[in-house]
Amino acid sequence: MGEINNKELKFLIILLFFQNLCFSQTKISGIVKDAKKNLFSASVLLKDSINNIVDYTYASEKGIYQFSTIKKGKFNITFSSLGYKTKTVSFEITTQKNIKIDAILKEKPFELDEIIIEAEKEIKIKKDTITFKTKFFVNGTEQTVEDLLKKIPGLNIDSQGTIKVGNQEIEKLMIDGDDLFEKGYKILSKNMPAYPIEEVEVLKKYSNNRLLKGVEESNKVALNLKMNEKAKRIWFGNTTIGLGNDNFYELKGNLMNFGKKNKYYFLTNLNNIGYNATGDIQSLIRPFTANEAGSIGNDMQVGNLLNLSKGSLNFKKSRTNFNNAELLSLNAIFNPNKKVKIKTLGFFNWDETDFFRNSTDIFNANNTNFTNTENFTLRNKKIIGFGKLDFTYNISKTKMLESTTKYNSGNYNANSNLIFNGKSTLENLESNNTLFDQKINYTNKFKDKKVFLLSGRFIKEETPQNYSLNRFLYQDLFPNATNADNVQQLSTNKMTFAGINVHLLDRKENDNLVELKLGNEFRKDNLKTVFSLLEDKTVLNKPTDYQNNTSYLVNNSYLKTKYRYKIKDFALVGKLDFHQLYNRFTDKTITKEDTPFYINPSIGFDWKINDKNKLMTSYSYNYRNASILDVYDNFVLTGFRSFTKGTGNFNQLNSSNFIFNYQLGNWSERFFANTFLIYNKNHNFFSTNSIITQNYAQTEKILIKDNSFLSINTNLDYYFNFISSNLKLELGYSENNFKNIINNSNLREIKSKTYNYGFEMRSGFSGIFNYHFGSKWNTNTIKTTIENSFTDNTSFLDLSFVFSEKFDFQVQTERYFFGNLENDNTYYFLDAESRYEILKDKLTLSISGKNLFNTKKFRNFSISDFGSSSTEYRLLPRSILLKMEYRF
Amino acid sequence: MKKILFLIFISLQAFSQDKSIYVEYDVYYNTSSPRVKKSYLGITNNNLSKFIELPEYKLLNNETNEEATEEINTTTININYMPNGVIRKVDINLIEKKITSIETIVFNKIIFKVNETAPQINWNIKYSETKLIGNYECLKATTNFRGRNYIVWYAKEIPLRFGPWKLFGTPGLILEAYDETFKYRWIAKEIKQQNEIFNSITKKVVYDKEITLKEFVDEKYNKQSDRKKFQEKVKSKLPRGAKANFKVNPNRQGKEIIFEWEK
Repeated sequence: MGEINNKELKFLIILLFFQNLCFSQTKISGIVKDAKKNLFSASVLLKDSINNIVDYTYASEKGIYQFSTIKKGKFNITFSSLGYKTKTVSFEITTQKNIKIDAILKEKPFELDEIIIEAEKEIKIKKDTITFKTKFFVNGTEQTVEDLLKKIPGLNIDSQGTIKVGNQEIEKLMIDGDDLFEKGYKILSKNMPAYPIEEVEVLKKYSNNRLLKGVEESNKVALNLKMNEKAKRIWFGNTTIGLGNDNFYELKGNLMNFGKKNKYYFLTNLNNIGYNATGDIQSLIRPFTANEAGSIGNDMQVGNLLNLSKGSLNFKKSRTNFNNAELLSLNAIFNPNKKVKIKTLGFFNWDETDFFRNSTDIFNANNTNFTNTENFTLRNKKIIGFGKLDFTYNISKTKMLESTTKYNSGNYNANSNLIFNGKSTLENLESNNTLFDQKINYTNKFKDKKVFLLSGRFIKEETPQNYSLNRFLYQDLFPNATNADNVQQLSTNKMTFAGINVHLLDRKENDNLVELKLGNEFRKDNLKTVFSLLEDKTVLNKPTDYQNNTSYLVNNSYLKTKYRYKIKDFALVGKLDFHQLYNRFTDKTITKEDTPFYINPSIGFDWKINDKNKLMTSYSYNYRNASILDVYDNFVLTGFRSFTKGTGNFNQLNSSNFIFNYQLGNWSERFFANTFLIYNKNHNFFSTNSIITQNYAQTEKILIKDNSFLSINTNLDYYFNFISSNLKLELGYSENNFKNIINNSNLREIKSKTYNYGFEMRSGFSGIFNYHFGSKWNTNTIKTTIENSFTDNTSFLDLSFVFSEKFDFQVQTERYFFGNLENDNTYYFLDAESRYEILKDKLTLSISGKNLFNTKKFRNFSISDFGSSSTEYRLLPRSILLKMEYRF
Repeated sequence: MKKILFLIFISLQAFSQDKSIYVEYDVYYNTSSPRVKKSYLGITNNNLSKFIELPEYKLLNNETNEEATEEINTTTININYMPNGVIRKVDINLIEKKITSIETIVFNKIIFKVNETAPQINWNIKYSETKLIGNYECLKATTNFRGRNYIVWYAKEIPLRFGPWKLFGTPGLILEAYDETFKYRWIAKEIKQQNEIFNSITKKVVYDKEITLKEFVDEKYNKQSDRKKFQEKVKSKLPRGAKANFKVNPNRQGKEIIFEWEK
């Protein structure tokens, strides 16, 4: 094609009478035909002398084409049509006004080069990894990583900055495979500039341990950003400064630098607005690894005997947290070479909190009645230092060694000023916590779908506590100590853990997973308590039944098996665990040993019946070995008027558990309902035998048979089209049956029941305004020989105004009502926040008001099997904070 | 008489056998759920092109092929219709100067047959860049069509003014086209002179309602009642404190953003 054949074409040049000068247009036109007819749609190209296309057109139905040009000089005109030979005619434009060139094309059998084409792609897919080359997706306006990720297909970023792949939130956001933030990745995505990012990788079926990829069950998804060399030089971050009335303030700062080899991240938070800053780094300190392969000793920790600031609140903790917190955290990752990765984390937290509580406890059981009043003020100071070092050595493609070392040192000093029944009572509690934790993990993927992990861990933790009380309230217990006027308890609770296990994961060809875990874990606890009665500073007496020096050793050899079987929408999981234990209990006088063996079976299935019906159920039978706090054999002071004591014996507790969940419809549909049921039957369980008097309570653990717990919860969603609002109904019931002994009674049977029911209504208007309100009732009943019950109600109303992307305003109101309080039984709260973005992604101003009704106190009411209590908390006063957030 | 019939037969056959061109394109939708669809352009006549896009697609996320060896083995297709999959079609008729397309609207179950007057697409062809697609030397052309800037590569040796979707009017057949953001991309995978599947799929094209482009745009962007309803529903189901921001008047997201009468 494209060959020129002058002899076969006819062309005509017509000169017109007028000759126009300079800018005259020349019209080139003509007719394209073949031997018989005009050729519709023949392509006509006008080229200059060096063959650049100047213009192009197509022949019309009648075969006519036409161009206009103001250019002069030599031209070529090319005619082509499918099935014809291409023709080119050369001509020159000088001063002509019209040039007519007709062409007759000769038929030529059309031969197409049938081809298969391979093209370069901006998206690469390799198994579960999708790689996006960012240059194909950006347009240069992207400031932050978040902006960049918004442009990547398949990623959704909501207004809060939560990153989702499809509908699933990502597990982590890594930089060159390094992770500093875990779930707190928003600090990174909202602050890091976008330009050094070259590739974005979406990692599906993500595993924290790279060798377990494709072997373990995983539906996690993570993102990895690959950077270019420019990144190293950039320091970036943000800072928030907030100032308010009554010296309320908040200061936050994040500073980061990421190079290919080294990465640094600094964080600081200072505030006195009740905000708990350690929450921000909690996931860094203890990454959630509960069900991960190779986990060992995760639940090994020492319990505290004494805690002055107890009391659980059923509303926002930050409202009662009078704090002054300072937190500084330094984190770094070093990659000295391709095989080695070192990750360090350190933080320092200093906090001073105040807590105020007034309570009235009414005791009424076994014909004993009394009322205690407490006016309690607590000042708690804590200093915590924490360090963590992760070391990863990639031995080869299939072998990996990981090590994690943690060290924690905490000092807590609590002073309470208590008015107990009108008399001043001062408590002081000084606690320390020292933790050393070393874990080593070796992973070997010895076959394509088979992995074994060898894990070892050593933990040593110690929590000494010194407690002193400036009053002697226990005259009845120690009738001889007539001169005693204060008491003291020194305690140390020490734990040593060492464990090793081998975990084998074998993904069969039919995709079913078999897991085997063989291990040995050793734990030794020492509990030492010294309780003294004093007169001034002179120790008068150390009552023998109130001293402990108990050592408890448990060695657990186990074999755990797990099999997951899946056919279509039905998955069955079976587990069978074998444990051989060796327990040794030693105190001053005796040593006891026993060697129980037990088997824990469990079976469960998930069944997706169809798109609308899903069923999940499981049953398990469990043996559990008693812990140190269950077995020590003398009394320990656990509060200013309470003593407790363990059983002094070994015990294995066995229980049956049943779980059932049924889901009807899907969340995004008009109608959705979910029912969850859990039933526990404890064949043996620990209960209490207590002596309770006005000034003290002595509680002893006892082993009782048959306790049961049942809980049913149902949620229902229904969407009303005509008001664009969704109604949620919630219904719950739980029942707990147990037995205990109080003041030498017989075994008392106690039935505790809770009902809760409530509704919520939320609008989904597309406009500026939206509402959300709801109310919830909670009824508690406790039945012993008498029945005691109360109903509380909590309601809320939230209003939201989103005026534009830059400006919004939110109001939240809450109402609490306590049915059994005669006066002061209703509380209202109002919080409001408004945000205005001055410079997009750079500078934001906001104003937040908390407790705007300036509610000073909050009283709630609770009941137990031996009485009732009402507690009043002092609340943080009204605060209005003006905040400025700046990103640099 | 026999002779005449025979001649007619010959001349009818002439184009359909010798000059028919079928191009198979992969359509990359780099939208919120990235996917690749299969599409065919069938040209049996200088004046008429039929473009069909199959509802069945590969979600980029679910692809399990090792490395980039996924080509070739996917050239045989299974027409595996999605439960609510619709075969899209764009017919360009140059004699009637008309485009007819089969379109759908998210959250709307009606399948529309949309009629419009073929717009004039002004291509800028003054580029010297060339690119080899298969064995064809291709030239670059650019245009702004209905709010997006497209870059196309056309084979200068195939003098057909057609291309995938509604892109037409270049001096040669378009073998690759993409908008400047790479949100939509068509890449020729195979060029053949015969394609049995093409006709069998064309017969399966169905629609519920025939409307004009203007009516369709109004339905899609101005009414959008179903989309709004869906967003409102999701928003109302969130727990306390959770926020979801759907843009009140979302930017038009599709291939066509602005229409001629809106300028």
